[in-house]
Amino acid sequence: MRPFSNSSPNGNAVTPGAAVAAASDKPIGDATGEQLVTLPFFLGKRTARQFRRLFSGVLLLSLPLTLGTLGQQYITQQAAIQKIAASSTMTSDMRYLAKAADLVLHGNATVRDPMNQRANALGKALVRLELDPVLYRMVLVREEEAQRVGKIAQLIARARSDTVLVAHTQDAPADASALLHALQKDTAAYAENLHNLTLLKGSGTRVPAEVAEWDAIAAMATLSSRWVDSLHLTAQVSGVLQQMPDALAGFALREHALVEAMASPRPAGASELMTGSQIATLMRNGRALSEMAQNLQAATDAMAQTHNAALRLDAASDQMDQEISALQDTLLEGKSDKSAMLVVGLLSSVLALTSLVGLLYVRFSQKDHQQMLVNHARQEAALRVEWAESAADEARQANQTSQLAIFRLMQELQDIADGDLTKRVTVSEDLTGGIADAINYTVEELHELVLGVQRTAAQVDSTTTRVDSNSMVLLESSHNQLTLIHTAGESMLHLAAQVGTISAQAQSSATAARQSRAAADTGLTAVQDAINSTQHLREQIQETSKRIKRLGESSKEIGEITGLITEITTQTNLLAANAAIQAASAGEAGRGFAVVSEEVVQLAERSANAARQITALVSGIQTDAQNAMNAMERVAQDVVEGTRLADRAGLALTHIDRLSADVALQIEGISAVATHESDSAGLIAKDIREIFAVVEKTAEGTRSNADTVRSLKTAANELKNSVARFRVAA
Amino acid sequence: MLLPTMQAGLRGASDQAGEPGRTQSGSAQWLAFAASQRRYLFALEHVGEVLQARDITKIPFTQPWFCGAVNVRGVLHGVIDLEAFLFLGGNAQDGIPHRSRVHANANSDHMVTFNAALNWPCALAAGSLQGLRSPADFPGATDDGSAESPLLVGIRRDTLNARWLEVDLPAVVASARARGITA
Repeated sequence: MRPFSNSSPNGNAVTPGAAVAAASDKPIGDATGEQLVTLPFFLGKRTARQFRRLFSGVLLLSLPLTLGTLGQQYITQQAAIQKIAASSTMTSDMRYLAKAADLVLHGNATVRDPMNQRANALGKALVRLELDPVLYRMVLVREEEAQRVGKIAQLIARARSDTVLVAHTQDAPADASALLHALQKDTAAYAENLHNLTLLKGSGTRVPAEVAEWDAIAAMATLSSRWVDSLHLTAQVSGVLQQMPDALAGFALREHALVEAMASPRPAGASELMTGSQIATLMRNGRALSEMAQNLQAATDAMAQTHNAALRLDAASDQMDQEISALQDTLLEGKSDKSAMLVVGLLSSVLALTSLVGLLYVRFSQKDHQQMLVNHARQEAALRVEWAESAADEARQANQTSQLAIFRLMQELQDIADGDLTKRVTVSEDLTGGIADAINYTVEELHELVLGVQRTAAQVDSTTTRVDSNSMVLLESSHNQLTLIHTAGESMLHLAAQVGTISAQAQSSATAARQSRAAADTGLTAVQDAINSTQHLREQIQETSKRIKRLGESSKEIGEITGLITEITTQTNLLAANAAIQAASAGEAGRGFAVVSEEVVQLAERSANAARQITALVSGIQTDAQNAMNAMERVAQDVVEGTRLADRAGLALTHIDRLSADVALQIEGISAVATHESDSAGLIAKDIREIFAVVEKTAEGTRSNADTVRSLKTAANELKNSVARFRVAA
Repeated sequence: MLLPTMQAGLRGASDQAGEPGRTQSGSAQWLAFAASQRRYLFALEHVGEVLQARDITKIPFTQPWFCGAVNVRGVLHGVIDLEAFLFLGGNAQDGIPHRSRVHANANSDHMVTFNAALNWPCALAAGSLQGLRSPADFPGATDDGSAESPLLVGIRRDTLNARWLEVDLPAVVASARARGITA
């Protein structure tokens, strides 16, 4: 018998149901016993089951979305950090490679191992930049970023090949430098040797072949010394290397001329002065020079390759800087994109929360409804008792049983009302049977609902726990990020300060170079003065030499005159002798005349003696004059040599002057670059500060997320506690 | 034409030889000559003139001590190499080659003609003239020179003890005549 659910055939049976219906002013569900629930906003009125389904659906949709968004954001941030870190190490590695290649080019072989290590590190950093496709499957790589990474990969591949080239030809530069030094030394020694030989021979007796030889060796010495000079200057090396083939060709030509000069026949006098062994030594030196020049050619090719590789490395380093900065810009842009993702995550989490709250609301309102149903049943029972009492006479027995049944039902309902949803009321055949059936159905539904609520609360609890732990990790990582960025900013500022110091030092170096240039100028003036005074000295020596020559000529004339005197004396002697003979033949008469003639003879003898002494003196004067002239000539030669040396010194000073100017220019360039770098470092520091701000904001968002999740967890716990008083398991 | 005149001159001077040589008055008595190996003194009274030995015309097929002929103020004189005459001529034979005469004449710068009293138109090539000498120049004793040559008056020594051969010019003239400088 189901009087409540199905309308009884008689009207009495209808009345209580109508009364119950009238007594309820709340919207009561349809035939299945569902209740309509009103929610604020746009949701309007729907049955609780519909709401439950709606909210459960939204919750199931939004929770994974939230988790997914948060996780994706976490991984993306991690990836961005890794990329920035990788790109930073790349920049430094690349700079190191360029610098090390430069060092290797200057013969510093110690950097070759670090160079290879840096190249390998570059490869590793590139792998990190390209990202592990399995690990970071979720990270979206943007088109622009991918292009930049591709370009960087190309640059790194080229830089690695160049590094291998530089590392393979690393001995070449040192060889070239050593060869150049040896060549310079040998040519200088050769020139010295030849110079000594020509000096030995004295001036004015040079054979054309020897002149050619001298010219050739002098040119060779000048060339080699110029190369060695150039070697000392970094900036000149490339120029020297470019000129090297031409210079070597000139060198070979000189050498050929030298060999020809050596081979050409010489006059007898020349070959006597130059012994066979000396010629052999010169020839051997010439051959050694030729071999050395060939080695140098080979070394120069290798060096040129290495130098080109080093230049490419340098260019690649600059390009790398640009690319890396562009990539970092791109990464930062990506970060701002990610904040949109964050908004999506927040929205979805808010949605999840809202649906959770809605679910709870619906559950609670259903609970109210069930209690109300119980109350209603009690009211109904009371009504029925009233109704039974009013119809006591016709259904006393039935009343009795009904009362009993109701009482039992009430008693059974008491447990249920206390929250034990495992209990069921006894479905009997009497009046309460239908009620019990309905109550059982209701309790069943309630049981199911509470179970659902508990499950959902547990789910929410576990999910929020996970989300909480995730957001804790996220928070920690963003904290780390902040620290890292702070450190990067500080080191950037430090770098800027250091670059400023470099700039200042470069300025002082430029000043020093200018001073050296001024000193070279002064030296040049001094050398010019020396040349002028030497010239003056030379003129004076020439004048003195001329005078001495005149003196020699005069003494020659004196000698001639003395010869004449001697002749006259001889004649006088002869005449006096004849006079004496005449006097002797004249006898006594000629005695006086004989005395006179004797005196004349004595005078003639004395004058002859005097003439002999004069001749001896004059010949002494002539010898001395000749010696003096020879000495003067030698002095004049020395003066010429001195002038030549001074000229060379002047040339060298001019060279120094030019080089100093070059150095000053280079250093000013370095200073300008350093200033620029300092500015760039300042800009980078500013950018890092902005990054810092953005990351801080992100961290703030993460923190508030974590707070929200925690409050969500608290709400879930409260929900769980509130449904805990329902006993759902036996 | 030349030779007959010479011979006549030589013949005419022969009977007066030796006379004026003994007159020793005045401080200077000798003319001093230095030849290639020896030093000679000639008494002034026997000497005619001192000349430079030049422009001597060589004459072939003559004695080894005969240097040639020379023109002395228009008179032809024969030239005799004194050293060769004194030391070579004594032992010399006619067959000595003419070349040696050139060598013997090489150092004779001056030549001396004989005094007109000796009447012999010849000149002695006796080396270079060293000047006049007086007895005061020869403080040492005079040696007998006949051991070296019969034509010497004696051998004198000067202050430095150098040997000077005093030539007996009249004896030289006689010896030359005896050797037949006639043709």
